[in-house]
Amino acid sequence: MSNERWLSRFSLIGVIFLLTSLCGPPASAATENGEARWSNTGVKPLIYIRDGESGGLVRAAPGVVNDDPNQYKPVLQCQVGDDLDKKCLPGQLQCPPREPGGKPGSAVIWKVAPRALENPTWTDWKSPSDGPSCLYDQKPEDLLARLAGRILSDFRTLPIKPAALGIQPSPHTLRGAETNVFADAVEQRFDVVILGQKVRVVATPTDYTYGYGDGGGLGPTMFAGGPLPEERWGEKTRTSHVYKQTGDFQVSVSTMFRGTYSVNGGPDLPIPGTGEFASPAQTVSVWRSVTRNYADNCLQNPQGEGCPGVPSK
Amino acid sequence: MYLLISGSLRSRLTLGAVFATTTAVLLGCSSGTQAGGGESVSPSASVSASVTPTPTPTPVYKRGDATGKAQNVPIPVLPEAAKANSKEGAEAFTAYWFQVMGYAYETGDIGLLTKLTGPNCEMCEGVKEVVPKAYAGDRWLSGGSFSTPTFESNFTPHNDGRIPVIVQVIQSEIRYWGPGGIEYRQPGEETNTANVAFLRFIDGAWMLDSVNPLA
Repeated sequence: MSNERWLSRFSLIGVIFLLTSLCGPPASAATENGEARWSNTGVKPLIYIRDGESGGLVRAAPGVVNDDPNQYKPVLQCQVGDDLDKKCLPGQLQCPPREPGGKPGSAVIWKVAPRALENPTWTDWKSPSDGPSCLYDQKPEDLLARLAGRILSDFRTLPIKPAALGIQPSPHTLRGAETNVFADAVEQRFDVVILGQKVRVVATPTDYTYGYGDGGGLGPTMFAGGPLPEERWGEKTRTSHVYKQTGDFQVSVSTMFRGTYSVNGGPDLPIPGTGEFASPAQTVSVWRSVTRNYADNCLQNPQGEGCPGVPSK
Repeated sequence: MYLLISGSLRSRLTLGAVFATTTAVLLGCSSGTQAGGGESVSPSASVSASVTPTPTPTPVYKRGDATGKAQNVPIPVLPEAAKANSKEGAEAFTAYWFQVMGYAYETGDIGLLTKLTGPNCEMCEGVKEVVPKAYAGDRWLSGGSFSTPTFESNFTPHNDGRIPVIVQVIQSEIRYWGPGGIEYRQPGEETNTANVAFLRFIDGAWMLDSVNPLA
């Protein structure tokens, strides 16, 4: 009876909550900050993509589209079509040599357009510095293609810090219990020089592959897992594992990073591909636990099993 | 045993009462505040009434700026080409629809936009909510006009019968003005996006059922 009464009270609270959320101000576009641009009002519309095979349009599954929808290209600041605009040249951004005896760079404006269109109109990309930037190369026109061609292998050699591996409990755990294994990886920034350009790389962890050391594994999965408070150790988590055997096992995690790169302050360009970075393995010792019940304590029966000085059977 | 039954009976009664009240309140609530769904609902009707062409002879158009919102903004006129049930007609109507949305951004008046738009358009609902807010009190916007430079369409219906028109939409920078010509927030930078507009040709005229981002 009390259960049912509780239930009805609970539903009443639920209903009241539902009512307030329905009768409050329309909740669709919740931009309290006043943003009014039509593509940024705060609603989360269905996103469509082109179906690769039929060429038709299909709804993208939620959460699938998280890449930058734009493409970018640099254009010489004073170039109009194939010609140079002579009037523009005096006011052009100066790109003096960056080291004594070096060559000056070329001023470029980055252009942006949606990736989904075959033949889009390009608009000026708004840079943080609010103006043109410099490229340092003999042929700035095809510099980006050369950069794009090698950025992935450069990315994979960066000193990207792999995830910190956590195990609960450790270094000892129990056979048959849920052992919580989790990874903690963070976004990282690197400033490097590639082909004479100052390139900023941002590496973001995306997926994790766990090896539990007993032949079991998980992933690649987007779940990094996380620590449990000690009183909840032994609970099942998305990344926990049950060891069926006792012994010492090497637990490992490998983290997949994707990245973007920005050339001399230009837009963040996607790195085509991912890099995988392994964390140092950790040993976990799996023990068995045995529960026995006894009628006496060791004072009443000093020779009983498990009492000090008594050999185990 | 008896107690148990009476207990569960009572809580069931309570539940029933709750549901009855809920339904009543829900009905009251929805008829009072909902604006988007039906066409005869009073709040939006009053808005669209103000759209009906003003008979006054055309005074000078002035774009919005720090001194005030745009004045004498001409209402976009449906071009002849946008009336045809064809690929070209669908594209021309899509271009026109974005001019109508630009009119809403320039005036704060979403009446005509609402008239040309179906109820299933999440992005339009967002615009219909934020634009009037940006004109509430002594506030107004400038900029935010639309261009639609690129279309891709082949007049093949989507699997639900709607006609998709892929359209590139560029919305110019928006500036946000408050009393005394003070900008109360950072300008919204120009956006350049790919979208798909889903149209229906109903009773001899196009209407926009939905517009969605294309990734």
